[in-house]
Amino acid sequence: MSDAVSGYADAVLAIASAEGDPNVEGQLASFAQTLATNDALSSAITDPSTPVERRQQVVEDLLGGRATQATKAAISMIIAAGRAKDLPAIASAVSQRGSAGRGRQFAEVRSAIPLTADQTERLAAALKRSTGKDVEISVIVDESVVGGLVTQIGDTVIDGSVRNRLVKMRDAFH
Amino acid sequence: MWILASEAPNGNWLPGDVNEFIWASLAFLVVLAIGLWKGLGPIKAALAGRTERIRDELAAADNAKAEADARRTEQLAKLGDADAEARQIVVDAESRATTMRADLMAKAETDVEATKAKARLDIDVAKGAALADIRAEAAANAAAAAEAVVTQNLDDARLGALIDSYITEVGA
Repeated sequence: MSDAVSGYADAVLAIASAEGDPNVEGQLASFAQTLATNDALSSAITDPSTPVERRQQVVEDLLGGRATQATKAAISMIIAAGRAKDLPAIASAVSQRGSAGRGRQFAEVRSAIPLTADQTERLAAALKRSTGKDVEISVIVDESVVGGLVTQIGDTVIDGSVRNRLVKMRDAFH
Repeated sequence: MWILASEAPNGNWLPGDVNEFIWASLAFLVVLAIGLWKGLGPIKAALAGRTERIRDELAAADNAKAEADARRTEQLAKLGDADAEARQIVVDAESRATTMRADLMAKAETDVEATKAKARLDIDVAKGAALADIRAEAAANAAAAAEAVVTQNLDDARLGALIDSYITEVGA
């Protein structure tokens, strides 16, 4: 994690704390997830040739009443700073800090399809058995995973994706 | 004789006037005696000088011939030396040519072997590269085919099953 991403994550948490808004972390994670899976939105938000005000308006129009004022302010701040490309990393850092603040381990899980609530609960339980700590999961839908899951907890990556197996198979062929 | 014959016959065995004949003969003998008396010595001296001169010339010719013979002998000796030297030069040249030929042959053989080795290496490299290309292409095609088969068969049920399997493995 770069110092810039870490700094912006602290700033977002400071905004959430100042506003007393507990939803910022989750809403920022959802927005980052949407950004990661929607190329058109990602281009509109990260295109440096588009004026910052225009990009902020796109976010405002998109989120509307589905996000709190603190969340929208945090996202606007990041876009105004020209860090829109780092939004997923900043959201992940915010989630890690939030989990740590709650005395839990944060796990970022990538999947080709959304996980059901049951799968999320079972995965959290499985990770708890594996790490010995309570785990909070943030699921990112990523079609490049193809199938299976990729979980990152701290510096540890548990890659059970079909993509990983295909890469290994391709390497074995070579 | 023709002059005497032109004289008219006088009844003697001599034609012409006998007195005239006698006086002419005496005059002749006197002239002859004087010639012999005065000219024989110088003639003898001239002949002796000429003989001496011829003898000297013959001696000089003999000397010249001897010198020429000596020179010829010397030249022949020199020719003999030159011939031997020429033979030695030929022998040396043949020896040098043989050595040079052997060296050139050895170098040519070395060059040929080096060229062959390089050619073999180039062929091996090209062969390896071609095989690597073929393997890479075959692997890429096989991987792409396998990936296509996998992704085409991954419906929601299978994706869910993969997630469940992952959760089970992580918790085990």
